[in-house]
Amino acid sequence: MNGKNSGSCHDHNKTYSIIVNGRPREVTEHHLTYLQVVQLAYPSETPAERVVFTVTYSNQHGRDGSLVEGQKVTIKNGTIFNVNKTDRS
Amino acid sequence: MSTKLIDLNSDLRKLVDEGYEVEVKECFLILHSVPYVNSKSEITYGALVTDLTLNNDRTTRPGNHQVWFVGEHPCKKDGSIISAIRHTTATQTLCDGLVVHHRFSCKPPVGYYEDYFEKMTRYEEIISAQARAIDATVTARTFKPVLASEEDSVFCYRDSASSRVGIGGLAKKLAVERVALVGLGGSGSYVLDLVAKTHVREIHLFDGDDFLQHNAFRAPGAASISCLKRKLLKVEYFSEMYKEMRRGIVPHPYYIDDGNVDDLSDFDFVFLCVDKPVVRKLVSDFLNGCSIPFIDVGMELELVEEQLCIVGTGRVTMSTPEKSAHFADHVSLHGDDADDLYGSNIQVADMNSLIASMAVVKWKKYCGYYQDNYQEHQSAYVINTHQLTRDEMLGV
Repeated sequence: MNGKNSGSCHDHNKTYSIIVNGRPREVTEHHLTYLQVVQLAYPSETPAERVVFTVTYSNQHGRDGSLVEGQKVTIKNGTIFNVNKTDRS
Repeated sequence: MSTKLIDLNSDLRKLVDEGYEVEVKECFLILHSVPYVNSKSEITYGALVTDLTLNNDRTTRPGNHQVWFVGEHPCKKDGSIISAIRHTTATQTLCDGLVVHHRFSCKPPVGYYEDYFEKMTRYEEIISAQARAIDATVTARTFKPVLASEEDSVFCYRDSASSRVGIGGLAKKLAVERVALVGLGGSGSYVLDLVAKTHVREIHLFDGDDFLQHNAFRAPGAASISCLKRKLLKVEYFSEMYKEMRRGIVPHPYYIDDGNVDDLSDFDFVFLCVDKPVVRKLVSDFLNGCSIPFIDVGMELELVEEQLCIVGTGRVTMSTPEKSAHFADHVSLHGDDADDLYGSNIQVADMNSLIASMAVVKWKKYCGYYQDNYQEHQSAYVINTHQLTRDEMLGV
């Protein structure tokens, strides 16, 4: 996911240190969509389209919140994501 | 009739709330376990009895200032009779099973007692003070549970938790007729634990699974080995446990499927605590079609192997006749087995009980028990960020 993706990110090669499901990650994107965050959490798999994840973000210097499909969030250094299926009872 | 009268009358309720053992029998009020001194200077226990002057089930100012007593004539600590209150001594049956032995008279200076609390505690004070002169720890305020009668309460004993703090009327907001719990795993069993302590008339349990050893570690209470050996179904185990406290627990020992989802058609509220997305879809489609509000709970915990710790998220999603379209955006509704993709089935009782508590708090908000400014229909708790989200709001 990280490094070479040009996508919609800005001119320079700034990287952001973030945490996804408890593990450090580096990204260059200034924004991440719901699907991109799911891919970061599960890079080796293509998630089945119909699986819905509970995606939340948190940042010490920003606001907390959640993402559903079609939404995105601005990345800062230290942003923490959690991506879970939340279908266990 | 006993607890209904107590609920209706603040003077009787005050006696209960202060810990006196109160019974109402026909139209007599009985204060049990009143310590007194007998003629041998021993501490023993009797009962004070008064008739109740009622108007449409409401107590009025007591019609007389006298009481009856069940027991020997109370004495001072030296064994001599408390003559100041003595009136008559005669064994007498007041009503079926209520036999009294003495009658006392202690007229207050104003000529009457304002209410039954004042009347009964005044006599209790006179009699028990002599016993306390011998042993300062004896008291008539035992806080023993008052037995509730069949017709006016779902509980086997009084809900003194609500009445003591004056929220009995508020607690009645939760006295809906029928609630269903679909799934009695870790989360569903804690939902049951909390809903059982409300005034819901009937709680129906749907689950076809056995109660096994690992279940005991993510369920409320402490299952004994002998209980595990009985290999009960979950619905049997939990209905047995909660029948000790309340009526109206109805076990349904099967899983919900296409053939029986109709069984959910007549509920006021449903808690959906299952693992399989297809069952979520079946039940949620059905309940939406019937305009029955429900809450779905779910979680996932994941081991971060390199750090040997757990991360994860608990989710509570409510769907109501007022707002339901968001449900499919937050909940997986396809796939037979929750294990199909990245399957992790770590469950820990504290997370089970936390999302169960969140679900029950949400239900109580929906019932108007708690204030609900935002009317959020979706919330997640995230462990490692200590985060609680608030989404899909109706209230803004």
